[in-house]
Amino acid sequence: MAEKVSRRKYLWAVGGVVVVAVVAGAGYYAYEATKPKGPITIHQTIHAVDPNEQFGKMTEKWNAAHPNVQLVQYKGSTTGGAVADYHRAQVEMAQAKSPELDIFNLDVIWGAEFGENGWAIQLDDKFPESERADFIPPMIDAWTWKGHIYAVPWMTDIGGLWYRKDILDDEGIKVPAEGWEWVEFFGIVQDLKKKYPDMDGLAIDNARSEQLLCNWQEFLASNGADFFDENGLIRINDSVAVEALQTMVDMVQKYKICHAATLTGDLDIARALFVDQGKSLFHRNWNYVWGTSLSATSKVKGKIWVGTLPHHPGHNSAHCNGGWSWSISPGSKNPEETWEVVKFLTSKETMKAMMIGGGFTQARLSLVNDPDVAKVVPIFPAYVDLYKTGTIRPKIVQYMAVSDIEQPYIHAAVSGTKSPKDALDGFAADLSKFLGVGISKA
Amino acid sequence: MAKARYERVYPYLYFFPALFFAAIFVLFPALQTVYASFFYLRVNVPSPQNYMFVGFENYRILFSDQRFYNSIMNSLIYTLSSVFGIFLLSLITALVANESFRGRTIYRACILIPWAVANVVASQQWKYLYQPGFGLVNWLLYWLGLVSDPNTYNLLTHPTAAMLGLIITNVWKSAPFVALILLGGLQSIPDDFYEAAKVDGAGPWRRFRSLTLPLLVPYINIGLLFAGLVAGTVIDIVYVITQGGPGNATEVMPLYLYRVYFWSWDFGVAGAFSTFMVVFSILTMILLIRSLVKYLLKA
Amino acid sequence: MKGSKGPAIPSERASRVLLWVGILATGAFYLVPYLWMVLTSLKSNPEFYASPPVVFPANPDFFRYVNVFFASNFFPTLRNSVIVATITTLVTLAAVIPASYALVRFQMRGRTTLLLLFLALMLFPPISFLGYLFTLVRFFGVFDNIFGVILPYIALGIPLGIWVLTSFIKSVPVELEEAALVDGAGRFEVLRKIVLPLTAPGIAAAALIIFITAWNEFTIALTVTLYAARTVTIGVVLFMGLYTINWGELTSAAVIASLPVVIAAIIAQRLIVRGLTAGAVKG
Repeated sequence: MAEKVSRRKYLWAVGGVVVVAVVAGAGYYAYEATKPKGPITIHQTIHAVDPNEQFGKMTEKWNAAHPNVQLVQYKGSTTGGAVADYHRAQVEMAQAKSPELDIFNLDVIWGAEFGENGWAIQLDDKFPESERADFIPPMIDAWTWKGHIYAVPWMTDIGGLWYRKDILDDEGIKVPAEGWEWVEFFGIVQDLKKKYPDMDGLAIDNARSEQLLCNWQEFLASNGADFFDENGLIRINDSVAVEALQTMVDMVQKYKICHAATLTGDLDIARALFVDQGKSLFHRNWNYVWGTSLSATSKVKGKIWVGTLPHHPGHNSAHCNGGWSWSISPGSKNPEETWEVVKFLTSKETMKAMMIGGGFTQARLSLVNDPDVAKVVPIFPAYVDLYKTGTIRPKIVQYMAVSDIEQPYIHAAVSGTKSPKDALDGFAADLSKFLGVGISKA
Repeated sequence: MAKARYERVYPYLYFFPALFFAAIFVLFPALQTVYASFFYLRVNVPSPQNYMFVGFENYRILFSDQRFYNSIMNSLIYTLSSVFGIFLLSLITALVANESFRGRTIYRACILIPWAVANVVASQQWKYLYQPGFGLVNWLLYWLGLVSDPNTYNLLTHPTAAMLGLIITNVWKSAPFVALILLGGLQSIPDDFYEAAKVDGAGPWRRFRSLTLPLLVPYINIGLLFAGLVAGTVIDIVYVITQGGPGNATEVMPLYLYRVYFWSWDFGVAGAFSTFMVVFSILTMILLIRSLVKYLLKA
Repeated sequence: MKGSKGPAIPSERASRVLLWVGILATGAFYLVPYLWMVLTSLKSNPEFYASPPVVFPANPDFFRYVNVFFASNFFPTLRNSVIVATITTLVTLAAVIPASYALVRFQMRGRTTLLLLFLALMLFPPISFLGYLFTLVRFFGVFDNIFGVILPYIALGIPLGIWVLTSFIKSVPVELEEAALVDGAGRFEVLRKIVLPLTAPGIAAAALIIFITAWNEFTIALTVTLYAARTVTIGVVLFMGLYTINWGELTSAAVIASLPVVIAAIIAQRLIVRGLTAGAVKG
């Protein structure tokens, strides 16, 4: 009898819980549906670190002026500087045509991919040619796919050779406008290191990451080499490319001008060595270095400047073009209002305010010679000039896959565990297999 | 008669909630993964070939990939070495924690610390410790005379040293959990057993080998099963510290799997890879499972 | 084992020395990386990258802890994690206790299959699930919602809980239960009044394991949340950006995030050990 009673009690209890749960759930959804519609909320993803809270300030400005269209920005997570995580999160949202995220924050290398898959709204009529002319051309180019434009550039990244102006001036050395030749540069660095024994030569982030490939691109293109030839065949393992990789490997292994931790450390390490420690003569990086050099913890305030990267004999220097752009989600419930937000954030006034406030480097050409900006960021003209001798990573839909195949080979070469020829031959073979494209016989 | 039928169904009611959750959020995606392995799917290429049935083509692609075999080798080295290291460290830790000494509570708290920190965070910290110049480990090695210049020697750029570094971090992270299990096992051995052995004249080593160790076997099995599982399927440590480098020298199976999923976005081949990994794990653990299940079902 | 008297036999004394070597070596190994993290959280630039490494910061910055704790992208994640981990633990236990009991005591057909099925599910690399989990969570309408995090965590915790509890339940003598059954108690009453109290240490152990897993988990939480339901581990990692890493804030956040777990572990650990010593009846 006791058995039957407790069993029945148990079943009633379970049944009761289920009924309560269902009723509560139904009631909740009904309540949500009858709530009066509030202001439209636009959701945007931004970088995890917001220098001088410029994004925060701009959002406040917009929200104050637009009580019916509120902007909510949240920081994208990158698990320690891995651009791939940010990519994954946004691809998942785009693919699901999510209404939860309206404005995407996208790297230039994803332009072909997002365009091809329709993961961003075409902005042709909203963002006409006349408007596009004021933005850094390689970035516009990265986001133009099959005749349509899919995003508006906001942050420009151009690889540059940062240097300690104070030390170079003392030594009477000037960075040539067309850049040194690589081997010449290594020699100069080694000589300087003899005079300043506790300084590193060149701080450059060479850990196994996308950043490594940006650096590699600069060696590659400055020797006239490329991934594909004019027929679309793979030529990444031809003699000029191997030569270029050999130069990069020599920099690390033979001339030893890089701090050992830059082969494996976090993305921020080279900059920290250059700015926070003040222990590096040269530094290869994007422009955010300038902003950090002005902070309270910087040891190089007013002592640094940017110049042309070195090149191989007989070729021009190549500065890798990167940067970030805003795109609108194909599943956004309020594309028109979202566009207004994007227009606001990329307007000349907002971009100027963000730069003067110490934020990221904005991508508008007309700001370059603006006197107000020049007061706060005097380096801007010298920096932006570098894009003219720029190079880009391959603009293909499956660039991330290519990057994943490429990274281990380049990193193995730079770490000294594979010869440049073996590394590039291996990469070419894998690339050929993946893309179904032949290798050039030249 | 209704009662008899009810009696048979009744035990399964106990199971129902657990099964329900597991079915939806684990079994269903698992089945989807296996199902996907027989189809072509490139998530980031709008090709007409997507969702087409391709039979074992994905498996063929996988098995002709050199990097795949490289990842298997790395996984074996990483997992087996980690499990071995975890076994040693957790056993020593549990034995130590089982003794009574001044400060035992503090010691037991210290044991729990690696377990308390999240994987990605702990890995970030260890990565920092392994760097040349400002990393503590290099200076320790220098102090021990194993490294001549702590500013230029980078252990993470040498394949073997990098793998060793990853294994040490993994051991640090997983040993506490296993030690706790073993401690529970040790605590369940009554003192009289030891007293009797001591009376019989058995020294500490003899007591350990013939008395403690055999009684601990089921606990060791469970502990190492979990440890092996974590080492074999979790990527956080490798992902953060070396990203699989130098080159691909430390790229373990789950890390390459992650890349096939979310860099190449080839869900077909990734599905085949996942299925392979499960079969592989089952086969390598089948001995351990059999003995464990036999013990658990001893009615 | 009592240890207040010094051992007289040489082998015993040697093993005492060995014990202390073991205590210090293993204790230092576990503690040093964490201590280093705590020390780093008090340092300021340029001490992070100083060579040789700076052990004690010149001007320890304790206020950083206050700033980080209340940081707008950290505090909500702390709150979310408390809710998520607690609910996950409670619901998982509620599901797992009857299931483990049934697995051990009932003569069910397909018992071995179920056990092996749970194990096989655990062997699936969690990475494979991410894409499908994203779709599933959206399907149930709980994307970027605390329940979107809790539901997968429960599914994750169930195999763990079952494996831990089955061994503890096994150690409860069957005779006690059979005596109660003969006296006319129902199966469920037996579970409630006899088995549960005796397996309390096992339940505490399972609760601890599930809580810590739910608290520290990262990849799944990252997949199923956007910003509103983010958990504390994501909150910590957010101090690392694509361009700069705030080491001081990062390590402070990591220390704050680890404290609840350390405290929970210390409390539960005492329960487990006390229960085990009291309830051990073998032979």
